Amino acid sequence: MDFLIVARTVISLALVSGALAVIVSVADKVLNNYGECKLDINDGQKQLTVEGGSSLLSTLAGQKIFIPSACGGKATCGLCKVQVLSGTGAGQVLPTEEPYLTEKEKADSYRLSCQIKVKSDMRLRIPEELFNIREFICELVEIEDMTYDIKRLRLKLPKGDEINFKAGQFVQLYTKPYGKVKEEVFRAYSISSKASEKDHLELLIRLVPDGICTTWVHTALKEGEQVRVSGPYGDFFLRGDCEELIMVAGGSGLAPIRSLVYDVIEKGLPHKMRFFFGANTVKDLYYLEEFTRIEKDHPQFSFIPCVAKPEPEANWQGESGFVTVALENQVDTGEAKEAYLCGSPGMLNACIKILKSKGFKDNTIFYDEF
Amino acid sequence: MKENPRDALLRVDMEAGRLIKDGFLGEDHRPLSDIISQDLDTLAGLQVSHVELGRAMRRLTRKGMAAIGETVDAGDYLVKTEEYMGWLGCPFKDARRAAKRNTLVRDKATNKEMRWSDLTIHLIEEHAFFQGKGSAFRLEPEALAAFLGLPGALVPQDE
Repeated sequence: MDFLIVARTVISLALVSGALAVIVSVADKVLNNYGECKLDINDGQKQLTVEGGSSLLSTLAGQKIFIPSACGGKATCGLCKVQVLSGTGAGQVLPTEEPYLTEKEKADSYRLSCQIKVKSDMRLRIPEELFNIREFICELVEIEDMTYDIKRLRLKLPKGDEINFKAGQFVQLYTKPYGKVKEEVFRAYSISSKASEKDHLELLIRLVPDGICTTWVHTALKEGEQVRVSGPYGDFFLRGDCEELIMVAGGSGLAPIRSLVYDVIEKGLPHKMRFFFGANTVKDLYYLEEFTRIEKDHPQFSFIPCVAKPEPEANWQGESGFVTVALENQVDTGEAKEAYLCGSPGMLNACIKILKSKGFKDNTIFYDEF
Repeated sequence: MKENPRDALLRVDMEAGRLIKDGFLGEDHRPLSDIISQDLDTLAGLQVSHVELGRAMRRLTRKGMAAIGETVDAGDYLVKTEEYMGWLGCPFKDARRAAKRNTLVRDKATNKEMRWSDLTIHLIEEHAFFQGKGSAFRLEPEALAAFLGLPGALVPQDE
């Protein structure tokens, strides 16, 4: 008897829940049906007709306008700012946007594009360079272990397509659902291949413990798979208003430096280059032969690999100690030099401190913060 | 207790596969405010604040940062800090971001170990959020306080 009462109750509740779900779903479609909305970008430079109801970030991505974002629209990075001059997003900023916007940005009508929905016609202002960012569905033609925790990915663009990027720039790599990750996420990775080779991209990806994207790359991604990327992004590229380039990288931070080194050489630029590459142990080093060969073939380039704690059995003959020590000892002044850095936050901070003590200025030190 | 709408939205992004692979909640289905208030009750009983815990954790992480990747002697503890490129945004969406840095600390006397990330420190210090039960990065307040010798150990105010 008791069982029947419980069963009836459970079934009744299930039916009520199901009915409510249907009502909510229908109501959502009816009440949140914003219909077609017109987006006017940069005073008529682009005029788009879109379906309302989604975030501005995803709506623009659907129109192949890719606003940089590091968190995928979850309001934890604050990078996806655009100016909303009129329309639904032009009102008061949301509490989720508040911490990311300065008073000036608020006054200038900046909003986080991931946080506002397209509900009506809107006038927007978006930096023009973002219109060059494209989406590519690539084939993963090679995946290679460079070290025990760094993989090289070679992504072939669709036949006849090409990517135009500046050496040092990055792309966003989109994952597919795997394990507990039920939706696509994306993360930024510097391009390590030559800017002159436009039919493919190479990325160097270090496994981050519990990393959402790097775990996918290291455990789930297989050669032959289709991989989605967008890009190029970023302002980490050669300025070259100097005589010498001081380059410092650690781990997978080697990626953009490799592209920069080849760019300088291929363009026949006169800059001297010194590349300090830091690793914890000898087994963390890679591309040693390649950079040693470049050094031999091109006197303008010097390669200084530094190993913090070389294993005794490795018989390491190069620089021992932190890369910052070599930088401190071997770079005398910032005069006529620019510095290009890529690595972990601690390494970046330490390098910047040393470089500034030697006379480098904010506008002669370049690095990416992702 | 019913979850307020803002916490409900935060909770969605704290689930596995949203911001980090395994999420911040583990198998804990309680409202965020309940998770936090229960841990605060525990701390009140211990007469330790989450801010003190955060400061003590950060102090050890900073010791480890003196030699990334190597084990550093930090008095009563041995500390090893590993760094990776990039940063993580705070799931409370406060515009703060933490370096991808993990710290492994061993108590020399007991050989007990604890591990935390820079984001964990921020979540504890600023939000009193020790993460949900079953989360890989949850630190039990009582165990953490005991590990750090709190109350009692001196935690400098300027760190």
